[in-house]
Amino acid sequence: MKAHRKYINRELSWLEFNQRVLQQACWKSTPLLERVKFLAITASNLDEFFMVRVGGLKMENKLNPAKVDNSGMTPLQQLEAVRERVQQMNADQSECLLDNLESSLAEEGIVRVRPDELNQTQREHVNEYFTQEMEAALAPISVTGADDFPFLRGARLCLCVRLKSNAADVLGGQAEESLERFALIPMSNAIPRMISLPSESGFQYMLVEDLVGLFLHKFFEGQEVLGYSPFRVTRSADVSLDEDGDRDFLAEMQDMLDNRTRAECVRLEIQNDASPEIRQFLLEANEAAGNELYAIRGPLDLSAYFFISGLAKFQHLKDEPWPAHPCPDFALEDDMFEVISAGDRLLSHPYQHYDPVVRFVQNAADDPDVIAIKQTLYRTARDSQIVNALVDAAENGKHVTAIVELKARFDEARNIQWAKRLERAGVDVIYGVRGLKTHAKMCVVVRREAGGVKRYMHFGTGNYNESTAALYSDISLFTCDPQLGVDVIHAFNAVTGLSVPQRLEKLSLAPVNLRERLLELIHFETENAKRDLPAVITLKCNSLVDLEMINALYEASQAGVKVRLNVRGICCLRPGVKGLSKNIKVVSVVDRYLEHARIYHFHQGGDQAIMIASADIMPRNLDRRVELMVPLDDGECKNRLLKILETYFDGNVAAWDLDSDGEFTRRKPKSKKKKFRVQEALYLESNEVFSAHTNPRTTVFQAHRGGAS
Amino acid sequence: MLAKSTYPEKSSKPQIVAVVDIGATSLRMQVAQINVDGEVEKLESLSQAVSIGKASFIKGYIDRQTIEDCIHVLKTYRQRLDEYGVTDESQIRVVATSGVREASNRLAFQDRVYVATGFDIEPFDLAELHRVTYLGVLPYFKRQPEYFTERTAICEVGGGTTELILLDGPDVDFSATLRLGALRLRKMLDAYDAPAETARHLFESQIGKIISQRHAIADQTVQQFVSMGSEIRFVANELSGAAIGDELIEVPLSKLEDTTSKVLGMPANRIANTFHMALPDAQTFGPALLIHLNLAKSMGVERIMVANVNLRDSLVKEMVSGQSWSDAIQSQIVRSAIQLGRKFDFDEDHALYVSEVALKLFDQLLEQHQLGLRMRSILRLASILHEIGRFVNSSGFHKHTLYLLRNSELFGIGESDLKLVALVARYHRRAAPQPSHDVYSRLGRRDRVAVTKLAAILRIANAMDEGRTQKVHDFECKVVADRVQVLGNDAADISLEQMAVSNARKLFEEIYGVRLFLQPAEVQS
Repeated sequence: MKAHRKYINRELSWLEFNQRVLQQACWKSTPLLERVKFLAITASNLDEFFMVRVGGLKMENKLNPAKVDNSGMTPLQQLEAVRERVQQMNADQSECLLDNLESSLAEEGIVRVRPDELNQTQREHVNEYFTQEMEAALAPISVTGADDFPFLRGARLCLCVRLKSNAADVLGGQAEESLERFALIPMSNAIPRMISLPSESGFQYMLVEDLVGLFLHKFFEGQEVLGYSPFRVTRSADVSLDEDGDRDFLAEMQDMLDNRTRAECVRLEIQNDASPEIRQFLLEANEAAGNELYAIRGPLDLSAYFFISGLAKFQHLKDEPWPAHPCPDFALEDDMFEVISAGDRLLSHPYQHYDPVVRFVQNAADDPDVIAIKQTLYRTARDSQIVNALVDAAENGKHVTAIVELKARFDEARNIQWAKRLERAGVDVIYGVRGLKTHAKMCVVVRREAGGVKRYMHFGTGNYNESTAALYSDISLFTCDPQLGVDVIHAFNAVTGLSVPQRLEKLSLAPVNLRERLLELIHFETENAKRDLPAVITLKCNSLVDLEMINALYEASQAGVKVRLNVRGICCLRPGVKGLSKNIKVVSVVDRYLEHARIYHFHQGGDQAIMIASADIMPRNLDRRVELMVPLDDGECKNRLLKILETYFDGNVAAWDLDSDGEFTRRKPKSKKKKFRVQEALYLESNEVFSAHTNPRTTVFQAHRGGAS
Repeated sequence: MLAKSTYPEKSSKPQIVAVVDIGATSLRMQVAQINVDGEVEKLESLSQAVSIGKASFIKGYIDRQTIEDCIHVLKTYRQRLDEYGVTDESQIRVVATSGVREASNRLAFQDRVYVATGFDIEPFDLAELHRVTYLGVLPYFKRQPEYFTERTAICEVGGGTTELILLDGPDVDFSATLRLGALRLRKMLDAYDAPAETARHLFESQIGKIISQRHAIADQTVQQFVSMGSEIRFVANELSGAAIGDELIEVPLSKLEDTTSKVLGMPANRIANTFHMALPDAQTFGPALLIHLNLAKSMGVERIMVANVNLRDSLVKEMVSGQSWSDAIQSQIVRSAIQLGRKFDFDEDHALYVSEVALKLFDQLLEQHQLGLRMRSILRLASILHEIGRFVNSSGFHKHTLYLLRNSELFGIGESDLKLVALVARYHRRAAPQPSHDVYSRLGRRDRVAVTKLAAILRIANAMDEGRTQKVHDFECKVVADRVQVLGNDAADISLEQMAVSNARKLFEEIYGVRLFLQPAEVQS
């Protein structure tokens, strides 16, 4: 077997993930507005993909055109493959929206009105709306070509208008008769993409580009509009902030970026009915090659459909709510520290409430015995209750240390804001480690008790973000294990530069020993399998990209280890290949909640090592980020997590098998009765945990708190 | 210094203590909690690379920038201690090893550190290092006695020095500090501007030279070789694949040889990357392993046993036990004193008897002298060794005792304590301490008074064996008003001793302000 056949290309694998999300949108059993949401997600995912990944590939193509990736493809080959795949995906998106969703939506009364379909009332409304709300907010820009083409941030939707030039308009009156002009009208962020229209029932709306199209004459009085078309330009993001690339590559790219004032166009989207003149003009003006052009059937920028999926009036078209269960261990009146002292606690979010995590920090802030709180913050919620609690704690005289990661992609501005607030309150804010993103999720509360200093920890797989905690599946662990306490302090000391890394007994910290630890665990199973002992590896992560790990898993498979992987997104490992990976199975679950937990399990000769981690199995996580892997020791927590992990391999709804060709096939239940939906099962599991708690306090109902759901 | 007199007492509340170790290559701090039952729970360990040794081993002094680097790190340590609420100086020990000890400006360094951070650096000398090292391996005697049945070498390699203790069974036979350290070797390379390829050869010839200079270790063979130090611990962890716990970990010499060769063949930055080390640690990694390897080879072992102890842990342990040393340490110190006495052909029966009597007097006269356990140990050693000056000349032998002791090594006893031992022994006869006496007059007031008090007791104890027949074993001190009666309970004739005591009691009466009598059993009323 040729080396490059061993691995699946990561870009194509990512696109397959997006395709699975798109399938959720196409799938008729998904509630209608959820389908709309999934469609919107695929669109915003693709935007980011172009900005970061395609941007990176194009750069690489310039710097190292001959460099072959693990799947044996040059940058150019990858770009071509990506383009081909994306074109198909765009077609699928359009089909999903225009041929499926819109008719279903219309049946429910959610109707997109085309300009020629407006009734009298609507036409009047539109007139008024344009004059009052839009005219002043939009500013056409006259453009002649690449030199004066404006830099439009964030792939903003824009109209390109082709005008017939008046002789008077042209300098010196020397114009040829056929001279054309082009003008751009960038859509303003202040104006919604979907303009609601008066209607007798349901919800009728018009797309902003259609509406503006009706009033072009107002901007260009006395000029003849020859045609117009909406378009979007996606530019490569400042990839230097991203740590995805190779190390040397990043350095080279940095130089390149320094010499460049404007990020280049990586994608030009236009509607497929745009005139050849507009198409040609936009290509030239953006200095884009033909293969950067994507002609889309129907509306551009489908991420705008988040708005439709969020329509309050149509909640019945959404998933039946699965309200998070309160965690029976942490009743409101309980002293959380006492509860944790009694034993480790495991929470399964979002099926179980995130509230205990918030309260953990809040209680620590108010508790007179608490002397210090140390926490990492990566992406936080707007008006984060956790940040507020840290501010309170500092004001209450606690020693508060926050390791704040400003580089969390696309969140930089917001992060800086609250980081300043923490600083003002007296929190010792540390802005990460040079060259490494702090991605670990750890919080330690140091408390002085009668028995001495005691540390209480929260470890998670998800960010300290109350909002996303309701949408992402994650695991939380509360513990006061003394060794983990020492380890976590050492991890903080290392990250904050207070000490060189000390030996960690239980925790694994990237980039120090996490990779080694994982390899060690994999090899242990391999060795056992070679000796005909039971050997099992079960991993759940978002992405599996790292070559060394993949090779170790191949080796394990060849030795006879039973390897099962639940990978949500990118998977470069090629499973089920004879002589390579026969014993490896890969399943992907894409459903209501974003699968986000990283759970790693090894048979360990019967000891059942099971860990939660902040790290995916990618080079960036293992080598260029501060990440944590936390073993579970408590029998009850271990068993529960094992059960949760096991559930992921039993699903036959919203679950996909990866085959040796790199294709994902949706699992099908043998009958309706045999349907098994993983996320539903996990919801029921947390319900069981809740109900099984026979303590009288289960009769105490807890209100959902604001912001946490 | 034997032990600070203000160590935390056993208390009903858990105590947090900290040990800061200013080493040749790094500043380390161990924060630990001593629970009510005396159990030590480590709270955290901190380590920052600052190369004090680099400055002091080459230039002979610590330069300004290095001092400020130290201060910066120590300030962050101080902040951390504030966080724990550890502010009382009795909860903190700060020790400095060879990097500071060998710097000509060590006093200025200590003062600067004190002014900037409030940390009071204890002068910590070699002998004390031995004591603490021994204390560190003590628990292994109990856990794995099989390794300590014959001759054992204990070896701890630091940045500037290597500690070597030879044990016979569990007893200390010999202890030495070799001017052989990982950083020192490394720096030698720079000083000679030697290329990396010849490094190993250069290192080995230096190690060999230093071993051969010490006769006591040059031709020694041992059955076991116990290694300590961060580098060897790291190797043991890597090779065994597990963290070292409470058990010694065996590392075959062949494997150590492989690892050492591998490390010495790698540039420092690669070592740092491969083993996730700070660069300065990476630079001294190879030389440290080489010292372990060559010492072990020279002592004829096939494997080394790696112990998971370090200076800081042992110092924390000393803080737990408070003022007194453990019995095991005490007995090692006494053993070493007796060995020294034998070297000078002392009257062993007399010496041990005097020491026994002196301690009995000390214990019964607590009210009068008000001295702590540290001084008790000084008295014990002085009484064992008070006569060794006779080896030189019996005329004025107490003066010979003084310089012999000051220039000897007693296991576990640092220079300042050794000075006190020597002075107490010197004043066991003839002239009372005088301001004109050179060594004595340079002591601080507290130590001066203590020396006089102890010497006064030693004089009485010595007089009580005037006949050299060790007659008075059982006696009791009775204090009535301004009289101390030493009442013998034996029926022996002690008239000779009585006379001797009355000749020797002047100093006692002067310093304690009471009259002292030795009375035989019969005349008790």
